[in-house]
Amino acid sequence: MLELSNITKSFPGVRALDGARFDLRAGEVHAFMGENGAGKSTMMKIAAGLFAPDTGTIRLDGVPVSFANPSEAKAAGIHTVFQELTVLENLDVAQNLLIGREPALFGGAWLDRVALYDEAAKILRELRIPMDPRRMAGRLSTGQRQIVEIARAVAQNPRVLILDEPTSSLGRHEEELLFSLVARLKTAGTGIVYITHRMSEVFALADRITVLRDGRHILTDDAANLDRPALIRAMVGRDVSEARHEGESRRAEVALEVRGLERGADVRGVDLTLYRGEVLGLAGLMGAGRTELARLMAGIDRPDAGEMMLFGQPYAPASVRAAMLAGVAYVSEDRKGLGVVLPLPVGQNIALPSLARLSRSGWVSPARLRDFARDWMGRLGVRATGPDTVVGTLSGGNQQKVALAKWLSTAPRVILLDEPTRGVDVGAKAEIYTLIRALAAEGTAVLVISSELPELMQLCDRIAVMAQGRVSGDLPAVEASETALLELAFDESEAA
Amino acid sequence: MSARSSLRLSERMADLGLALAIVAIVTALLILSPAFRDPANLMGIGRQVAILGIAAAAMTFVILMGEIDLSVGAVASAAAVVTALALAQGWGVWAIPIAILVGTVFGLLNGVLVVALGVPAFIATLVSFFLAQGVALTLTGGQTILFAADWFRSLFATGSFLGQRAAFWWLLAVFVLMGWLLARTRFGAQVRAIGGDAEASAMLGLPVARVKLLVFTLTGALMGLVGMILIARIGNARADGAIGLEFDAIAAAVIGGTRLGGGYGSIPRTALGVLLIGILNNGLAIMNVDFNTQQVIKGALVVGVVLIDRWARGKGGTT
Ligand SMILES: Nc1ncnc2c1ncn2[C@@H]1O[C@H](COP(=O)(O)OP(=O)(O)OP(=O)(O)O)[C@@H](O)[C@H]1O
Ligand SMILES: [Mg+2]
Repeated sequence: MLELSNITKSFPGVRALDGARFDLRAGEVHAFMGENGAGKSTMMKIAAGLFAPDTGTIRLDGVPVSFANPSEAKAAGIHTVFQELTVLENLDVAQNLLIGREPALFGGAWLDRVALYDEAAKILRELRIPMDPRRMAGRLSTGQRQIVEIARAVAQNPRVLILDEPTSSLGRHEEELLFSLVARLKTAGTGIVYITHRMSEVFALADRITVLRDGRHILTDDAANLDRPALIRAMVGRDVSEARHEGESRRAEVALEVRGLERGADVRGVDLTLYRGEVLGLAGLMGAGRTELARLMAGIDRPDAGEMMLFGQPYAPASVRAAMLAGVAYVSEDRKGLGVVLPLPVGQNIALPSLARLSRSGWVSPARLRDFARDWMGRLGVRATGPDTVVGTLSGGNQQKVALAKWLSTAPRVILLDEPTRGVDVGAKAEIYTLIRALAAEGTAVLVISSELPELMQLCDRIAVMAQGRVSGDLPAVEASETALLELAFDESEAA
Repeated sequence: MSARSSLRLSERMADLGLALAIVAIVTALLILSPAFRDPANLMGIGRQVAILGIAAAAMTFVILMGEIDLSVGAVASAAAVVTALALAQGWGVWAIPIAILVGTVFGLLNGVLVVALGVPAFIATLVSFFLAQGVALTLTGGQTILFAADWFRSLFATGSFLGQRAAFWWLLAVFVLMGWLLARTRFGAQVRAIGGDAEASAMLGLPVARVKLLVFTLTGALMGLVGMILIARIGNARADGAIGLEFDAIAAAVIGGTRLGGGYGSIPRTALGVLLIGILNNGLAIMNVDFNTQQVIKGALVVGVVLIDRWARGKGGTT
């Protein structure tokens, strides 16, 4: 139905696509895989009318087409959920859902407010999304915004639906919601392009798989003909170990201790102990209060009640800076908002929190900054031309690596990682795990918040589970199973 | 749910704060100044704020969209000068489309510089500022242009209708038009979306370039109207007739809660901001407060409102 062939696209300094191709049939889920920076998003932005290809052709039902802008692609029935969230924070949910096609009389000269909220409520109801259409999008969590984003596209009965890492910030509930939507659209004959770095999703959902590497087409095949190692090899070009971390949790010295911590309705009496040299996972459903807890620890928010001790000293950071000075670093889940400064180059982003250490009497030598940044880019495998590349032009996964490098490089005593591998490819994930393990081995205390249970089981020493604003239990990672963790995660939500 | 009602509440409190400020200032002035109390004076405020109000309404669109227009005062002055010359030459009603045309051309220039050439609005509109000033100074040679056209003065300023002067009715018409455009049309929704995030809006398929071009052009056209009201009120034109208007317009929009940086603002709130500045200007002038002190008071007011706005929306998760 949709066919992109021989597509080439260059940006200043990078050739993002090099004769790539992709074809989509009606009623199929076609997974589009590849490493960070392979060119997946670029390819789909071409299909969505956002970029024009340098060379190559796009055919829709066999007819060559070219889209001058996204609205032309939409008119042709191609709808996209972009990797970068495009939900507008200053509008409410209804306005976001129906943006560009608000119900109106006289050709847009008189908006029909009543119909707007009715229509939005109808969409939310049909898609079984429990959300108030009048809620301001700025007050939604990242996951909820992603849901709005998906609902916006699905509501238009697309012929082609492009989902670029739609689950990267979804919790389990929302994920199931998405999967059922995908199933429904599929039966209705929609062709779905599905970009993800989560292997389990690929094999659960995809009919066919296309792999892209360095902007080139590597393979297209039925999902049934491929297995996990084969797919990873095609993407990365080598084998990647996915073994669990084996090891004793070291519980000699307490790094950060939290007692009875409360804030609003999100954190309702948390007790948690984080030891020096351990990697502690924090599992839980979306809305369980994990991010809110981390924000308290990081000095972003102030608790209503409870206390924290850092290496035996009372710890009540009044700001992020105070937390940083005390040796606590936080890598946010929302990389666009808090993680990286998009218009700045990679080098400055990485060096930002370390400027004090890098400077001599207030003067930072640019060469020194570059070397420092280059070193960390290397350690995390950031794929960019150099430290001077603007972060905003990097692929999503590579932006995430920059956010990580930025805080890892401050040599913190305690590091809080909120969804650290969101949007990161399998190969790079393994590298990041190794790096986190190495940090822990050097004595850093690491807290990892993740919605991917396999990730926690692979990476951590111990996994604590939060439910409804409290810690409902913890398990050594070697003993943890998905079932056991989920039971804890649903713990109190069933009762409440 | 609770978050939603708290947002509504804090927004309402910001509105309430503004309304209270107006009531407090009016009460103080009523008590302190007999001249302010005079009904003739009170009725006059509506006409005095006409120029500021129209500029502030246009500025609300520009700021809401995430841009800025520093050229409005100079463009209105240039339109005023050209129009006065046309009237003095006896061109009659043709002076009116000429005024609008002058404003529109400068507005279009702003738009093209920003949209097509990617010049930051701050720079682009500064360029227009100097160009418009250049045009006005060249045409006047530093002189005041006199003209005699009673019909013109009556139509745009001095004429009376239902107890209010024509200038006030023009202001009202512009507020209604702009209020409707912003709150009730798809165009207004697009302006707001672009102010929220221009890049995301483009990805969503909104006509970002066209909307920006339109807003700058519309602002220019309205400055043509401002120029006409300006000369109709005083009966002559000078090259610096409306210089400084840009800052009062920005102040009124910001006091009304329009957020610099874009995304938030409304015409009714800007109207409150205009009213506040208008009352303040009138009261302080009547009480013979010197000009510099007036400026300081206005400045303090803007700072106060920005602080309140920050506090009220602080929990929104956006800056
Ligand atoms: N607007 C842009 N300007 C410059 N370079 C860009 C731009 N967009 C993408 N690139 C570059 O093109 C390449 C491909 O990026 P793309 O976003 O398509 O990768 P991806 O496969 O989607 O990766 P990820 O899995 O991390 O999202 C990268 O090297 C990226 O830096
Ligand atoms: Mg991508």
